[in-house]
This record gives sequence, C-alpha cells and structure tokens, in this order.
Amino acid sequence: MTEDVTEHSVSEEVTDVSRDSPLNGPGVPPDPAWFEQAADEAPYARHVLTTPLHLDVADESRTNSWTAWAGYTVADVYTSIEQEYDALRTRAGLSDISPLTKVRLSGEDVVPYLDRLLTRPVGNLEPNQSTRAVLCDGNGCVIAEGVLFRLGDEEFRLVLRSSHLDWLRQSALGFDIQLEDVSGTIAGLSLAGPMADSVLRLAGMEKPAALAKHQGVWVELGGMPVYLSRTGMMGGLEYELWCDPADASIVWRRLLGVGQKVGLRPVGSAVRNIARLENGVALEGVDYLSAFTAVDPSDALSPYDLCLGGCVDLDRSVFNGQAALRKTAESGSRNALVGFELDLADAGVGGPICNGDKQVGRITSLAWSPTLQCTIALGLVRASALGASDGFTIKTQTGENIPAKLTKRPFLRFS
Amino acid sequence: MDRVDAVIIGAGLNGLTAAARLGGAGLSVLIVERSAQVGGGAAHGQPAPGYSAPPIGFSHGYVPPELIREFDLAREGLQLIRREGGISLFDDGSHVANYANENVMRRELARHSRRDADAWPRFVRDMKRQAELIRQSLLKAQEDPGEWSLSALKQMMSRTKSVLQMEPEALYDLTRFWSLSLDDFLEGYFESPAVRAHLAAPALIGRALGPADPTGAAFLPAQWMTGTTGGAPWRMSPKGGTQALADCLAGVVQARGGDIRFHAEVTDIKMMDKKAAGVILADGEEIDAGIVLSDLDIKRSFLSLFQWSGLPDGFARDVANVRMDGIVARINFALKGLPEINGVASDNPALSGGLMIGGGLHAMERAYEDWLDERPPSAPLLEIAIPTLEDPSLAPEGGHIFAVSAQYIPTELHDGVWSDVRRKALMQTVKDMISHHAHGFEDHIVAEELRLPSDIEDQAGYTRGDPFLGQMSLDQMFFNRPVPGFSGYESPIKNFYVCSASGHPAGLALGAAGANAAQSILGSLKGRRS
Repeated sequence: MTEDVTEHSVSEEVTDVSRDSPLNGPGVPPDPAWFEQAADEAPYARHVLTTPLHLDVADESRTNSWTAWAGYTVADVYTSIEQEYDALRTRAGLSDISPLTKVRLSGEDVVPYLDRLLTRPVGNLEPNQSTRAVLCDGNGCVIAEGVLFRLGDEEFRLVLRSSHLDWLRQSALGFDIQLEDVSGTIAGLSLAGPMADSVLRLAGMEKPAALAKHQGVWVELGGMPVYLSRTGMMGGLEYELWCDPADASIVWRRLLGVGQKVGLRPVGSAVRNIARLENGVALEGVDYLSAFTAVDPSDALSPYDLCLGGCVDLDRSVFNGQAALRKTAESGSRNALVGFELDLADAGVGGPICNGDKQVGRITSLAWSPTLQCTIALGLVRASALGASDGFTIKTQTGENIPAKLTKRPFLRFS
Repeated sequence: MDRVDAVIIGAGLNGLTAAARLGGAGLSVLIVERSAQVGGGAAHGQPAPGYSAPPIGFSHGYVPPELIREFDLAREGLQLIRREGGISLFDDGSHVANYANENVMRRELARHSRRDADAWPRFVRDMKRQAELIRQSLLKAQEDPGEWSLSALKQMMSRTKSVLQMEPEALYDLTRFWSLSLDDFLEGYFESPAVRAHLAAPALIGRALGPADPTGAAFLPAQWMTGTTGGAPWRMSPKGGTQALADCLAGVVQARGGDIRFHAEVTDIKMMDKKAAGVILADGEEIDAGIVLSDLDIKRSFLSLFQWSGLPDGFARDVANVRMDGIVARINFALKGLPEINGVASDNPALSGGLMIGGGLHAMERAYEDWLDERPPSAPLLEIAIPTLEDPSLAPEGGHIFAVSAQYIPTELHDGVWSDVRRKALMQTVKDMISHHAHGFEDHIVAEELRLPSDIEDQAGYTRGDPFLGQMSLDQMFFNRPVPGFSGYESPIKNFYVCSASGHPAGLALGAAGANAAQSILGSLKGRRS
C-alpha cells in the first residue's frame, strides 16, 4: 500500500513536470513555456507581460515583490534593499532590463535622419560607440531620452524607456531608412558595481577593462553571442549585455553562477532607482512627463528645463524642435530640475519645495542614499527661484519643513 | 388646485433635476407628466415579460458627479455600473476592441498597427485635454454674450481670456477639434482604417453627420469625460438602467416637497399680462404657477404651447429653424441567451461595452448618403449595447438584451411612408447584419421592438425624433443653444423657461440641462428680490 502511493507520486512527478512550481530550485532550469506568450494570446489575457528572464528572476526572488515597468513584470526587491545596494556599490549587481524599447535604424539616410530626430548630431559617433539621445517634439518639449548605439556605418540602435514608433515614423518622412522595433528580439541585462570586471573575467571574457565608457563590443559569454556595452544609468563601473531572448537565461545563470565568488547579487528596481538618483539621472514618467502624455501642456518640459542643455546643439541643420529650443535658449528656461540633499532619514514621498513662505517647486523623486547617509531628491523648481542658493525647504507629509540643500548632480561621484 | 411656485411640464430626467433643484431652494414645485411613468425618453419598457429596456433613450449616459453629490443620489440608492470595452466588428471577421488597461489597449491596437499603438498616448492626451474643457462647461448656464448683463459679460470675458491665454499650439488644437471631420482628425493619429472606424463610430451616433463631414471631431472627447486610466474610456450606466436614475430623482423631488401628477397633458400655457402664469391641461384644468418650465424640446415648447402671434418678432421663425433631425432608430432585442460572436471569445471583457457594426468609414459614409437621400440605408451603423452583461437584473436568468441604436435611418422616405413592409425590411437588414457576426442570432430572439425616428416623435414628442432635442453641432451648442439670442434657458416669454436637453449641454450629460435651468431661475429670482 505504502509503495503504491510512493510509486504513484513518483510517476506523477515524472509525467507532470509542467505542473511543477516554476521555482524548481537551483540548477533545474524552469520550463520557459510557463510564462511564454503564445502567438494567438488575446491582448486582455494578462495586463502585464513577462520578460524572457522572468523565470530566472522569479527563481532568485526571496520577497516575491514585483513592480511593473513599461507593461512588463520586473522584480522590485530580490532579498532586501540593504543587501542589494551593498552588492551594487561595493561588489556587483545584476538586473533584468529587458523591458526597454529597442529600435533598429538603418539605411542610406540614417545619419541625416537621426540628426533630424535628435537634439545633437550623431555623424561623429564611431561604430560601437553610444551617446545619450534626446527626442523633442515640434514645441521643443522632451518626448523621450535614451541611448543611441552605432552598430555600423548605416546601422544604429535606439534604446528608450517607452515606445515611440509613431513619432519615429512621422519624423522619417522623406528619409530613406528602415525602422524596426526589435524590442522582442533583444533581451537586456545590466551588470554594475566595482567587481563587474571580475565577474566578466570569471565568466570567460578576456579583457573587459579595455572597454572605454560608452563603447560596445561583441563578445562570447558561455558560448552565447552577447553585445556588451559600457553603458547604464547608475554611475560607476557598469555594463549592459544585449543578447537573444533565448540565450538570456543562460547568460544570466552563468553570470550569477560565477559571480557568487565575488559577491554578485541580483538587484531589483528599488535599488536601481536609488542608484540612478545618486547618479542624478531623471526618468521619463517619474521625474517628468513625456510631451505626449502631458495633459496639461505646461507639464511638458524642454531639455533646458531638465538641465539637459548639454545634449542640445542648436547651430546646425534643422532638427525637431529647433526653432522652439532656440527661443527657449535665448529667453531662458522656466523651470529647472535640480538636486537637493535633506537631513532626514525618512522623508516619505516628497512634496512641495518652498523658499521662505513661497512654494517654488515640487519634489519628483526622493530616496535615502546609504552611501551619502542622507536623503537625496530631484525637484522641479521655477528657474527664477534659483537666484537664491539656500533657504529651500521641503514640506513633508507630516507638515514639517525640512531644510534642503541645493546640490549639484550627480550626487555620487566615482573615481 | 392651489397655486405653485413652479410647474414643470414633463417628468424627463431634466424636468426631474430642475424640480429637485428648485424644490431644494424652497420653492413649491409640481411636475405634470403626460404618461404614467417618470423618465420621459429615459423611461424603460418591457420588450418581453421580465426584460427591461428603454424603448427610446440610450441605455447609457454621463451623470455629472456634481449632480450625484448635490442630490445625494448614491445614498438614495443609485448605483453606477462601469461598462468597459466596446468592440467594433468588421465584415472580414476582424475586430477592434476597447480596453481600459493601457497596456492591453496598446497591444490590441498593435494587432492592427504597431505605430497606432504608439500613437495612442498622444490621442489620449488630446482627448483628455478637450474632455476637461467640455466637462467644465456642462454645469454652467451659458450666458448670452449679446445680453450685456454683468454675468454674461463676466463669462464672455473669462472665456475670451482663457482663449487669449492659450498657447498657439492649444488654439490650433481647439480649432482642429471644432472644424475637422472625424476621418481627417483621426488620420492625424492612426493609420489603420479599422482603428479609425472603431474610434469614429461612437461619436456619430445620434448626429446628422457623416464621418467625412466637417466638425465631426468635436464630439470625440465627449466619451472621455467619465474617466480613463490611460486605456480606452469607460461608460457609466445606472444599475437598473436609466429608469432607476429617473426613479431615484423622482424620490429626491418628492423628498423636497415636490409633487408629480401623471396622465396630465399640458396643451397650453396660461398667459397673464404677456407673462406665463401657469399651464392648461387637456381636460381644461388650469394650474397657476409663478414660473413655468418646459422639459419638452424647443419646438414643442414654443410652437405647440403658445399662440404664434404672441411670440416676439421672428422668434417663431428662429425656433422653426433650429435643426432637429431624426437619424437613430431604436431597436430592442430580448434574447434568451448571449449569441456567440465570431472571432470574439465569450470571456472577452470588452463585450460589456457592447458591439459596433458598420463596416469602415466608407460604409458609414454610404449609409449617411442614403440618409441624405431619404432612403433606408442598405447597411446602417449599429451600436449595440448589451446592458444585461453587467446588470443581469434587466432580464430573466440567462437572458440578454441587445439595445440597438441604428444610425442613418431617415425620419421620412423620399418615395413614400415607412410601411409595415419597409419596417420589416429594415428589421431584417439589422438582423442580417448582426447574424453575419453572430451565427444563429435570430434563434435567440424572444421579442423585438422597433422605434423609427417618427415613432420616437409620436411617443416621446422629440420633434423629428432627434435624440438630442436639437442637433449638437457647433452652431447649436454653448451660447448658441437652443436659439441664438436666447442662450441658456430663459425665453422671450417672461417666467417661461426651457429646461430640456434642447438647452446646453444637450445630450452630453444626463439631467444637466434641467439643473442648469433651475440654477439660472434661482439666480434671477435672487436678482429680483434684492
């Protein structure tokens, strides 16, 4: 009788693998069919999709804490914010950045097209180099910002946080280019931290340190072709790895496997958000609205408002938003997105920024920085209020007025 | 009968909200209603035993939250049901659906065009911008700019100021909205013809316009007043249908001391010193009142209740010139079950928003041309509400109602009358169109009822069967509504007011015109006293 039961349960285990929990434990690759989107799946079958790394990420999650990013489920916290932050800033952290939108741009006119699309010319960009890309609408308001990779003479890849095919196509009128959304065919991983080089070496790469900032190179990792770029938004030594979604799981497992020796940990969105704030990076949809989603037109901001003036080159052939940006450059921008440091351990979610009795702006992002041992924040303030260099306060939810020190971005500098 | 402060002709939603507001201000009010039921066009009937549907009105509508709060309708028992979705079915078997979730909506659009999916946020942004402008004007009496009163001047000034302060870009947007056709406007966003047809169709229902006619775009944002989270907007409808809303309002009127008399048809306005002084009923009874409000349309209010000779110069002509067009036939099908829709899974949440069948924009344009030629259209545009999906109380267990608004049905035909044969032919066209997408649809039918625009005129008293009691076009909106020179609710006859949807904001919000009329009456009473 007992044997029967045992036999029965064993045979069930063998035949019904697909009904096992996707969390199969270390070493057992989960069945990708679990979360894969079927070709004929109805749009309403789920509200958020999963990335190609979802099962590997789920495997690492100890908190089961998730968040949505651009319509995808991503891990918010894997173990704890403290542990992950510590790994990221003192050893190395690995994250899934697959929800980013990737657009392949190619063709004879691709350089003039990008010159038209972006606020800065791209002709000087060498192959395998990347640059920060800012897209403005006709009013000179920021639609999106991202990173542009040059992959060949006539081939580029634009990586954005949100999808803007409509605008890219509209701007392509009259240019001989091919435009292709390749988001679904490229998975992204971010490897960051002082030990990132060691992790790559342990994974079999020969000289990762030879890669200069903003540069990219094709490498082989665990037998898989990976485009490795020294890019990212968190500051310090960081890499992004771009590969086929089918290979992503193997690359992730290989990196985590070999990286354990040097303390590599998966890092979730919560810590990535702290890190990007320390690096002074503003995000579309968090710190500012895309010009296409700003219902109140005054919420649409120019690159100058966002202190991205360095990304604008006005004196050249026509580009989207040029005339409006020229006006703004002459008259000065109305707002400025600036950094603040607060002597407060827990400031909640932020609130109005005041100087004296007058409200001069509002906090857009705020986090406790474990390295700086203070709360850091980004705030959008009226440019006219920046005449004063001090006297700023932030009103918390409990009604306290906390002194805030105007601080230059980035908050955290790496040697 | 004792004298009352205000007598209201008609217990439609606007008559009820006017009465509730006046009653709340301490006036004694009496509603006289021709039928045995409150609700007017919003009243429900029984297409078959156990089934409940409005034979004339639409089964949904925007109830301004301000009115819900003012009359405390939620505590009076009114429940609003959120109906998400809406699916346009096309002849090739494809469909476009609305989803409230932004990710899902964009994925749905991406099935038709990746580019359109990314154009969606820009479309939503522009819709929300315009919807807010419309929403803000709903519960404001529109002052006549020609009337040089302080309040009219103030409103004109603030409107001019807000236009002058607009960024040029916003002004272009406003101009685009008020001038472009639906087709041209949507082409500025979407490349897929199916997506354009899907978004255009709801903005056409009830309006004597084709998709290629200028000014059609102006009513696209009306659907966006209810709310959205970044996906498609949803519709709110009262649980128990619009009848429940009417009953609820009637309760408020009575609680505020108001009275409702049924089976009382008003035939004349009692005049005294060229001022309205009460009403005269069909049986000859006279009811004296300080103020008379009419919940009838503008033409009935003036042209059938007054001696034309008593109206000021040219006013009768201006009223006669108000464009009222019947264009919608209402058809209710009582069904014993929900038929299967081709290509649409029965668990698709967008079904609650109903179906739209009308082919592409070209097909709609052809149907519109048929209407212009006064021919029954070979393929009308069908908006099918399925209220029973979210509110099963409207039908027996398992049963459903298809409440069809068939657009582009002429009031009169160029070559004769709507004979029984022609009515049957129209019904068959509609059934065939539905059956094309839902095989075996006819086997589900328990009962059916058809109200042509002319039936709507006979039964509800809407002139020519116009569902909006005056076409909602730019020349007949805001301070031009209902008649240029008599914007708002006052009339050239002292103490006589029009509180029906012939006044601003027409069909954009249920009960708003009545509440606004009451507000302007209370305003002028205050002025008189002080």
